[in-house]
Amino acid sequence: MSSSTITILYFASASTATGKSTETLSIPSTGLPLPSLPTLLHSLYPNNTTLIKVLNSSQWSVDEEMIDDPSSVILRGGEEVAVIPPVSGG
Amino acid sequence: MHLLDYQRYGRQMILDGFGLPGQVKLKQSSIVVVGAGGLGCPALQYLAAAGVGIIGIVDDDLVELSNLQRQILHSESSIGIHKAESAASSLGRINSSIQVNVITSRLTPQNALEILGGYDIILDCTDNAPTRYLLSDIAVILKKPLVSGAAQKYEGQLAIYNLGPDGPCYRCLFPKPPAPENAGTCEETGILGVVTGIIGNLQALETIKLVTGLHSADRKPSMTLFSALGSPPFRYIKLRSRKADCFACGRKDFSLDMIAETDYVQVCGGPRPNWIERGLVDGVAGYRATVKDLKNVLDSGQEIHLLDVRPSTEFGICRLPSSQNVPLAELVAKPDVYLPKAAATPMYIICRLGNDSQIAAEALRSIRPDGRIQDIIGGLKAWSNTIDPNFPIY
Repeated sequence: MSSSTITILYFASASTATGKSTETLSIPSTGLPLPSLPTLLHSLYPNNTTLIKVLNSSQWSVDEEMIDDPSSVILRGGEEVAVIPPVSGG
Repeated sequence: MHLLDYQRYGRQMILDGFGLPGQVKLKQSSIVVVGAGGLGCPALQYLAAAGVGIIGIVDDDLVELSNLQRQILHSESSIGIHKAESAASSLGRINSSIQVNVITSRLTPQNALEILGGYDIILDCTDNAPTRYLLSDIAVILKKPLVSGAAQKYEGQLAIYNLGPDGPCYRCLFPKPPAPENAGTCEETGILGVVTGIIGNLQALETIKLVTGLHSADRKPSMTLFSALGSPPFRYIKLRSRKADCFACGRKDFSLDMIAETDYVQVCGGPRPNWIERGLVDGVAGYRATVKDLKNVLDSGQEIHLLDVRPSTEFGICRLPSSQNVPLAELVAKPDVYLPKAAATPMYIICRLGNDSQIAAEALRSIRPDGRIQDIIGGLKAWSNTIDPNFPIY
């Protein structure tokens, strides 16, 4: 049921913190408000303080569009959500 | 244009949309590249070759051996000299007809306007968050586009900030700077040289498009995410427009005074930890041992456990013969598994610089407070410096 899963893409320090570049997550069939996604991720990566810090300074994109106001977004399933941390290396 | 310039630039001048006007615009343009490292070198190389009239290079660092894997304008003979000087002399060999300005001072809130003010476009090729926020703020004040590249490990980002009347600035997009310990440097997290090459080249490309008018004005601002191992390797994220409540680009009264009063290092969570110094602290008496102590106990033939808590990839590069690899994350998750069966057996923990080993020893002591558990001050770097100069430093 693709309608109740989302694809998460982890970039840079988010990828380092999770050890993954992408994964598929199940969300409630009633939908998941984007601001609740960090809580879901914390439950999947318990005690991962690095991930908490990374999420705190990162931005979300949904279906390749940077989200201005996460509270206005409800994930319904099928979306591709990216965690985009600021990268400072060069 | 000089007669020879028609030959030199002919291959790009015959391109539709570029032509003689494109070449003249490049010649009349002035571009400043902040950072002559992994991103700056390839960007500078192509901007110079393409015939940008005036190029500024800002960098206060000196060339080191560990730079040469990716910072392609520097060479073995330029180790120890300023990166800006080294890059400028390479550009002189590529194209002697352009003007190159070398700035070897560190960019600060006080000097940034003077250094950057005369240029049309700013390239952010820096390696640290405080300078990135400073550059973004200055670009807002100067109303100039900031072609920003960044890279770590196998990944990179590219965006043009502050473009046009409503393009967002870097601060607008990332109002909360990364925690210093998560803003990994190339030294800490690693970087594949060609990844900085790809992003730096894209910065040169976007700059040339902006100068020559090939950058279509109605294109929405976007961020390019490059992941060398990803499938697909390139992704494009549409950026939102300027935020009305952005501290910098959203307010009309944003001023140079506000920049001058800002401590960008503090804004970004304080100075970057000096892991070498931290790894060398003495700590609580009896909790840490020197590399000489370790050498003595190894030579004595006494039975000990020696744990190396570096990532397994680093353990694969070099290691002490009798050491066992348990990466820090695994050890901290289940410290009890790795304790010696006999509490009397001394245990030594080692890592690269002597920081992770303290965390590991602490985790083990929390389970066995009376155990003989010590970690090694300064780690394998100290081992190489003090005991065995043939042990690799990486």
